[in-house]
Amino acid sequence: MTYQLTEGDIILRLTDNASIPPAEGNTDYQAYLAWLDEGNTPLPADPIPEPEPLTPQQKLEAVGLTVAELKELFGLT
Amino acid sequence: MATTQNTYTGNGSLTEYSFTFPYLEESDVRVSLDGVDQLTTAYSFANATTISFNTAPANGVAIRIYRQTAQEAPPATFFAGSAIRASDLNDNFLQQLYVAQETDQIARNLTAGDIAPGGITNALLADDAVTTAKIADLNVTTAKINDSAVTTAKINDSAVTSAKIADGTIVNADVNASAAIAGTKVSPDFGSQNITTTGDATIGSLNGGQLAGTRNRIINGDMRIDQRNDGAAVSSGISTLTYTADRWSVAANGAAVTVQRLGTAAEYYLNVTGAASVTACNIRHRIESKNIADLAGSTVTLSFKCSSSSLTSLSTALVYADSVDNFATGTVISSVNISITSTPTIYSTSFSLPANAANGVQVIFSLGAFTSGTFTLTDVQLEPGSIVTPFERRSYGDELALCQRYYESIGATYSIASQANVVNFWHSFKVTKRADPTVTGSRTFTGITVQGFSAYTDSSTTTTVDNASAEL
Repeated sequence: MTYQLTEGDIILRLTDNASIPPAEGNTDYQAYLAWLDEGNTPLPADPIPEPEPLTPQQKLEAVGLTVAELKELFGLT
Repeated sequence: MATTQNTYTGNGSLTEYSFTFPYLEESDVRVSLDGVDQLTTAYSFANATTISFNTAPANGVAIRIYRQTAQEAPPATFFAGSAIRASDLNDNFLQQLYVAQETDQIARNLTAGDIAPGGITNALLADDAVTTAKIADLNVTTAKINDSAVTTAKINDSAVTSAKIADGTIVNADVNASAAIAGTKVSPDFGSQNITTTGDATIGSLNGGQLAGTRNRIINGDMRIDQRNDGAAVSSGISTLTYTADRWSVAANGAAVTVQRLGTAAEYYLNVTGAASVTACNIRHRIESKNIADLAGSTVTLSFKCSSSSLTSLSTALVYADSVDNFATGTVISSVNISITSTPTIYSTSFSLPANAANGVQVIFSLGAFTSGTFTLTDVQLEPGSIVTPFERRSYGDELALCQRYYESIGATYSIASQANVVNFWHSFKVTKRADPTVTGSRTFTGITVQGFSAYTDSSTTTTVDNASAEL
């Protein structure tokens, strides 16, 4: 059994990709605590990936403008 | 009537008693004490009309001084040619007179001792002559009472006891319609007799438990719900708990066994197939604290229907969790070996739950070294009391909801088309979970509670959610 920490408080069980909440009544969490007591260590959390920078076209779409509308806005037509 | 006797009652001191009747000879005067004639040596004549006792009759003794004139021969006998004296004539006539008077006295004072045995016939008794006082106590026998002669009025109130009523003689008609026989007069155990009524049954409990509804503390005891596998066969794995039909898990040692929910909607059952090298095989069901705590300290009865093509016995055990709802370690309450056959049969055994059963109870069926053949199990019921009742079949929807408190097959897919942004979503469970569940799917889920969880998705990533488990 292998576990991995996440950026939040969820424990990831890698054998079945299960998200285990840190709840005392959760049997899987109890098993995780027992696993820790046996001297095991979970894998560290994956770093949060940096979002890829948006292209100018994506930025326009995000604000709902077309290239023509942008040119008109700046008097370039 | 002439006097022929005088009677007195002794006082223990008086010795002389007079009498008033005439007599011919002193030998004709007799004395009796309490009815016993006295010898003439016991008394003497103080004078012609007074008897003097040698010893004063005791106090209360009946003294009778009476005359009994000799009648064997006349006092005087006359001969031809002899002179006839007046005194002789008088004596002879007095003898006749005295004897007649004494006979009359005897007739009047007739006692039982004066009557020869068998001397009094029925005809000599006047109708209505025999009074109760004339019948000695305890002398009337059954033969003296005519059949049907004793009427109700002749029996004293409250006189007939139970011992005088022959067993099995009181019939229903003997009981008054308004008799209102108290419940305490009815044996509390009707044995195997059915009780039938067309009216209401007003009772406090049923076998020590509630009257109806959810008597059975086992969820999915008839194996109807199989969210994980929907009837497909699964391998138990080795030395690990593998859930099969909802709420049921199987653990095998040595080798894996195959477990499958089989049957039809009419009756489902768990089918376990043994395998070579299996050294132990346990089928388990865990009951959470909230569903068993009220029965701690009382008697419960486990019943189940099972069969096996190879096993001839199994062991059933109840184990309580050492801490609330945590079965990582447990303590055996009791275990019972039961012989089984190849024919599906209902078996049962009772257990006394200790106080610690409030932590939660695990039911275990141990099949031992189950190396071949099959074992079937269904209709498992754990109920209050020591009486086995028919398996409690709940509606499918109710049973499914009960199962979903512990495990919910979700099978949802979340995705958002044509959106560059990441979108958070919230997924609500169908049933509130026993505890914050473990959620399995295509990504790591966050914000997991007993009600649901949150996650994110976007146009480039599809998020699938498989299931949520809050099993014990």
